[in-house]
Amino acid sequence: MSQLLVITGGRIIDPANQRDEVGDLYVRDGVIASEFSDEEREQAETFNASGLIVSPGFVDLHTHLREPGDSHKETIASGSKAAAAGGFTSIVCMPNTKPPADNAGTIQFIKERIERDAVVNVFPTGCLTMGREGKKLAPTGSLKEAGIVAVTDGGHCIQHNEIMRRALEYAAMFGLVVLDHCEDAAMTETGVMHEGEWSLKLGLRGKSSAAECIMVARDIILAEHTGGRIHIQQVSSASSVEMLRRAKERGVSVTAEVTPQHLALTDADLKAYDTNLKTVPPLRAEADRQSLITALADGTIDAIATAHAPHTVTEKDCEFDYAPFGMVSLETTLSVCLESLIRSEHMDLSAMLACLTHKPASVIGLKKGTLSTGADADITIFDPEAEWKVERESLQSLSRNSPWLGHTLRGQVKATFVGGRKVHG
Amino acid sequence: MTAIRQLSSPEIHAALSDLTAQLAASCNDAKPLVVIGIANGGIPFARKIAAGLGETLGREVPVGTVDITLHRDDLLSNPIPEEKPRTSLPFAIDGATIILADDVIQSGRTIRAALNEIFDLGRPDRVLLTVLADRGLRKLPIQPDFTGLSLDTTEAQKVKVSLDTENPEKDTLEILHL
Amino acid sequence: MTAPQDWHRKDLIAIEDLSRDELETIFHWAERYKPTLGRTNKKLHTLNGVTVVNLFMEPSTRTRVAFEIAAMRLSADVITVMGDASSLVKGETLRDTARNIQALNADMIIMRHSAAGSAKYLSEVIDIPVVNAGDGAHEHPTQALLDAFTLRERLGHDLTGKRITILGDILFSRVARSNIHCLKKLGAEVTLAGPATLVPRGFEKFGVRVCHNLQAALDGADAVMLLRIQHERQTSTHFPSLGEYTSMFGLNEKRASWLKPDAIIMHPGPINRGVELDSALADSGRSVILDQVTNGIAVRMAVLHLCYTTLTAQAS
Repeated sequence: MSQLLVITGGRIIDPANQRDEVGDLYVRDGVIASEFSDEEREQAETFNASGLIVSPGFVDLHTHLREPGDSHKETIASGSKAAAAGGFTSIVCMPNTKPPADNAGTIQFIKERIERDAVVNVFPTGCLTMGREGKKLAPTGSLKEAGIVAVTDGGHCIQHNEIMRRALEYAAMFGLVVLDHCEDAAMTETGVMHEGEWSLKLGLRGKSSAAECIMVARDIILAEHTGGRIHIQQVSSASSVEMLRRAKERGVSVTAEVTPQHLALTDADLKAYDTNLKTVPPLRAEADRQSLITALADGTIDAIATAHAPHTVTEKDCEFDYAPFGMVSLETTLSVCLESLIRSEHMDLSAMLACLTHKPASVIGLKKGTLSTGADADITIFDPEAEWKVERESLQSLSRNSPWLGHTLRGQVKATFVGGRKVHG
Repeated sequence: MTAIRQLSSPEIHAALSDLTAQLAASCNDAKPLVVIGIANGGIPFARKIAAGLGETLGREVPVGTVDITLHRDDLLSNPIPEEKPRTSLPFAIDGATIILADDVIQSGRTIRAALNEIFDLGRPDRVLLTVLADRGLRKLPIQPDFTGLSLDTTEAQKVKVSLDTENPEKDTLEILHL
Repeated sequence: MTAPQDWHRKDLIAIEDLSRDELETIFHWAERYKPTLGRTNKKLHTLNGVTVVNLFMEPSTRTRVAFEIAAMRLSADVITVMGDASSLVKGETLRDTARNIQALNADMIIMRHSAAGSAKYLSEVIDIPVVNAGDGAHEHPTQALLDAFTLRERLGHDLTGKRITILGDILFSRVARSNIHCLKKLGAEVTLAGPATLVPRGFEKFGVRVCHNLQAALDGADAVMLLRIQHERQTSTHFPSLGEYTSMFGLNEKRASWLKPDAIIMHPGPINRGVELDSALADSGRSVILDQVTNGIAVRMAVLHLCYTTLTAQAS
């Protein structure tokens, strides 16, 4: 007998299919169905979604799950629970584990853990270079056979232009997208925040936006030159946005993501030296933030990605200079995006959900992020107005390094389904 | 605030004359003699005493000022101090006889602090304490050597002294009810 | 002179936090304390029985000694703890170090640290007063206070409209940042000068003039504050060599003649004689460098006194 679920009375928004209507959504045996027979309707389990938004499950291109190696910060189990709580049904995990995912064995281990522990779909990536050192190419072909969906040095940017060029060419042969965190190392090695008015005020060393833009430009030039596919991670500055806009106009095969934190926060928010706001690329100036929102709205930036980067309370409880970079984000992304994009009237809900669903999926060719008939029934149901408080106890992640800790946010995930099975709510 | 009792300038001058005479009698040796007024109220009183003594003894009696702020025992409870003249002793005090002068003595705390300030700056031979008015209510074992007026007061009262070195006829002393 | 009107903080973290009235309160007490420094018996009793810990996580001689003397003048017991804050070698966290010191019944902590923001962090993890003796490139509040106190002595209590030029490595200088805030609050007109790599235009957002032409920067100034050029900067990309710095930005007789005739020359020390400052000028009557050192004690006595007063006032 079939597994039947009907989600009734919700506002179904499926951006890939330009669908936005109040109605019922049918799930048969873990996939979206167009309709049920009267008999099926009677037998089906019902989820009443009236007053709620029913969306394709969110897709995150940029998650750090820390396993293997740093399972005190996060595990595949805890990170995927956090994803489910945040409405993410598919997440792409970064290879900067210990050991790094630069060999088929590590990928195999990660795949086994996913199989055993994950409550959402987790897609591993592999290193671009051995040890993420930017010197010698990792065995991309073997990694692909082991199950990776993209290649990246996760947080490290290859500085050597020739190696980057060859990496792009080599990855393209396997149809893999290269995800790059753009930062010129020599210009940023001592920096801990955005270089600007606030770094001068706070006496903290800056990372200039030029250091990012130079590498974005380099990547665009190499993508154009090699025909490889590049995806720019965590675009943070107005100058990078401009560079991307011109490249896309020329038809260069480049995509980009932005994080909720860069859409919501600026360098001025660092005035109390809160280490939970220390991240990389750094929170930039207000003009940069505005430009990121515009770029997301006009399609220059393709996707919202969390860059969920868990660190323990102990690691963050220190002098600003010594704290590690990164913040947890999976569980606050929806609320933060609703605030920064919808309530501020920069985008409509459907356009925003596109950036969280089918658009990120298409960046790396995942068949996810839609409610098309026959698609996997990965569904997120949320109340855009419900308020909740970000507290240690309310987070599923093992780490608590959120800039919104202690804040009350608006917009809450009420239920998350993966393959028709409820994994949260 | 209402005045309970008011002393006129003739009454004050009588007290000052008595004090001067008593001080002159005990300070007629050859040792250096100085008068030090405790800022603020003790300053005009010290000047009047010094002038009187100078006349009686037939020699110059220099006047100095001590500011007790840095020796107050409540220094750490009040970050905003009263603005007062600073300590100024334009003479040597080692071996001198010091007449320490204040307008009113109550608890004795001010005198304790003034002695600390003086001894931070030198080692006088002798310190004599003189006050225009002793209002009682002592909290420390400190007694004036020479007292102009003895007043019977309560904690709820305030003794307000106004001495004018230019116009002695304007000198007043009032006991006020707070 | 403005009468002191305001003080309510137990920590001194940054000049940026202070109001004009709070600055005046500090100057008031420093003026009271300064004459006591010349006495034979220099000891006062303000902090009798109070234990002050000088926590120096970054090496410093003059600031440490000045704080030690200031605390001792007030009869406090002073213990200096030298630490190493470098992230690679440190075992104990700053929180643990500080809480241990507090558990030893210390009453105040004076901290020097290489990381910006560390003084604020410290004040959040412990209850006792924290006085910032320099946190990275952020602030060095007592240096700015002693500089302003010295300027007030020399140029008059009202610094409104006085033209002060700060010359040297501004980018990495906590002294410059604290002085900019302090002088602006006191109404002075501040010019920053030095090589463009060490004096970025971004400082104009602080409401100061940024000037890479030395003559224009010094012309008509009432005072020039020199900052020490760090030898280690030479190995970085910020300027070509000490020799080049001296020939372009070192203060010598000729360049000093561009200042107002009675202008004063200041330096937080230690001086690199012959680098940022010509040796003869350092010893000339225009130099107030040693006055700054003496005033540093009076100002720090005032700061220790005031911060501790707030703690006792809170307790009572």
